[in-house]
Amino acid sequence: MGFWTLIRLEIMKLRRNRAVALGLGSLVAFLLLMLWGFYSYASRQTGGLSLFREAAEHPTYFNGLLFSLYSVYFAFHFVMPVVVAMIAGAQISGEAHGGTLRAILSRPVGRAELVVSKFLVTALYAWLVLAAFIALNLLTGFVLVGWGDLGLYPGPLGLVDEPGSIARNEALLRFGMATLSGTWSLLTLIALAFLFSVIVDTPVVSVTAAILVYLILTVIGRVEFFSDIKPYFFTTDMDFWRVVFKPEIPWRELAWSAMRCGAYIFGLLLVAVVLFERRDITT
Amino acid sequence: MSSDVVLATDHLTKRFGKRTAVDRLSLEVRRGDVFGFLGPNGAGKSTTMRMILGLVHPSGGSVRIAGVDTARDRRAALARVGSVVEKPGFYLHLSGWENLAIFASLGGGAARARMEEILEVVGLRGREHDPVAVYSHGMRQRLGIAQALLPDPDLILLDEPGDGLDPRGSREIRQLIRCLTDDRRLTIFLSSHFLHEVEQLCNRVAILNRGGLLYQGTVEGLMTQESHLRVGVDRVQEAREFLAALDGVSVLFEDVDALTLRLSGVQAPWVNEQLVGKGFRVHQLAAVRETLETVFLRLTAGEANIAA
Repeated sequence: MGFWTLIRLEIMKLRRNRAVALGLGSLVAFLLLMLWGFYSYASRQTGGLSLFREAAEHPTYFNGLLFSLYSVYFAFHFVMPVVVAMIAGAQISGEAHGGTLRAILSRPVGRAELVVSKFLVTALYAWLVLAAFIALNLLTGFVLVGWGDLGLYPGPLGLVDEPGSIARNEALLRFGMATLSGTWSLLTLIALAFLFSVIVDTPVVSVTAAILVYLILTVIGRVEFFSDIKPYFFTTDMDFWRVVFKPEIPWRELAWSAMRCGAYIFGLLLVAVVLFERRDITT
Repeated sequence: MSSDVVLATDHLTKRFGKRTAVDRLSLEVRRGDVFGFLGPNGAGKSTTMRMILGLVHPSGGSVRIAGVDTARDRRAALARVGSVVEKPGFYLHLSGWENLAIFASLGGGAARARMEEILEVVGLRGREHDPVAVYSHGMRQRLGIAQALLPDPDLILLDEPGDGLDPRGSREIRQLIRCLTDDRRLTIFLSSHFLHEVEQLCNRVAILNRGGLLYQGTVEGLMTQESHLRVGVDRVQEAREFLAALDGVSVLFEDVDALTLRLSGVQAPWVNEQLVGKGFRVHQLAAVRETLETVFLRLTAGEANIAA
């Protein structure tokens, strides 16, 4: 049986996976929450103007691109990792839990091929979900908030020290680049979730373990006390995806962080494959 | 190894830490066999089946399927093997048909006509588009056998196919297995707790206990190695003590007015003469046919090791 057959089957299974619908629903819910937050913030900042369009016409601060940037930024830190880990962490452990793993591996199927095909399909899923979420944000921002250049301000994004902006068309291109840098970044967490998935037989445990590790490192990475060891957290490297929104993209920094993420991705995946090859399937 | 041998294990061993689950197990399953694989819980049956299928890595020994060493070329070895290990696992939210399509693809694909034919054989036609989640336990077992038939196998491994089924479901599965062996001449390696089922279906058996092989051979051979004799006699207690002291006689069971004896190298008339000579009144002498169940219970109780 060919590798592409495995890929095709994994895509088919993923399409029918209810966790996918749950993840997409969570992202839409998050978008609505962001709209609500953005609306109330804009209303407060503009002295009671309650419509987005009115807010957008007030200063240039508020527009659909900025809304999208904030929405994607916050989603990337809190929702997107959960959405991808939910799928990635259940890839092998979910099959083991459901009894389908032994049925699959009783066939002439290679274990490494199975892990790699599942990983590639999960990567494709992560890219599609991120791209769809960014597109939905841009569309929502365009329709409900307004259009213009992307204004950048010192603040929680940490992209600039002084106010600046990126021209609209360039900003759209940067969002396109963010789908790739964001996916590469998420692959680090996906690889970690795969590792847990081959170690345990219960998907809840593997998914929770991956999310917990991510959240713990993300949270303590923001505490001053851990500033010396923060550079060694993989979550620190994962944060590289958003440098594509700096007015001047720091290519060297981006490449270095992307390489470090790549080392995590291939390292974790290699360990997952080796452990899976050696493992006895007793479930 | 003879080309007639479909499955052979040679000193197959599995250790989990310090515990030896399967100990130097050598089996031979020949083409056309319905091979019963028996043993109490924890005997190592499932571990052996998993080693055959490459799910569990052996600590020692080897497995050859149709002459191909599974350690060297697992894919070639498993290409024409179908299996249901323990409870068959399916994607419950998908239909029976979609599940079969997935497992067919894993084995290189199967034509629509073949899938329909297999569903007909296992009696699931008409229900194939229902989600597996609504299937009964018996239907899932039949779907499991259907997926085992997909690769047009030379050998099918079935692990406790009747487990958890009600008597009707169990009988249906038994009939299905009989149909596979009679009509399709498949070689079947069947692990089961139902000894009556094995006795009816299998021509050869292996009995495993605590990872070690107790017996391997024909069902008839197993049950005719020793003759049993039921003796109706008065003063049962005294007769028991008298008989127990004789060479070649051991008392297996004692009833109110009869004893069941195992005879080794002596015959019923001689036993009768001994009893009558001692003044006992013998009112019954009957050869007792052992069932697989009594043999199994006796062997796995550790009474004997009669590996053939």
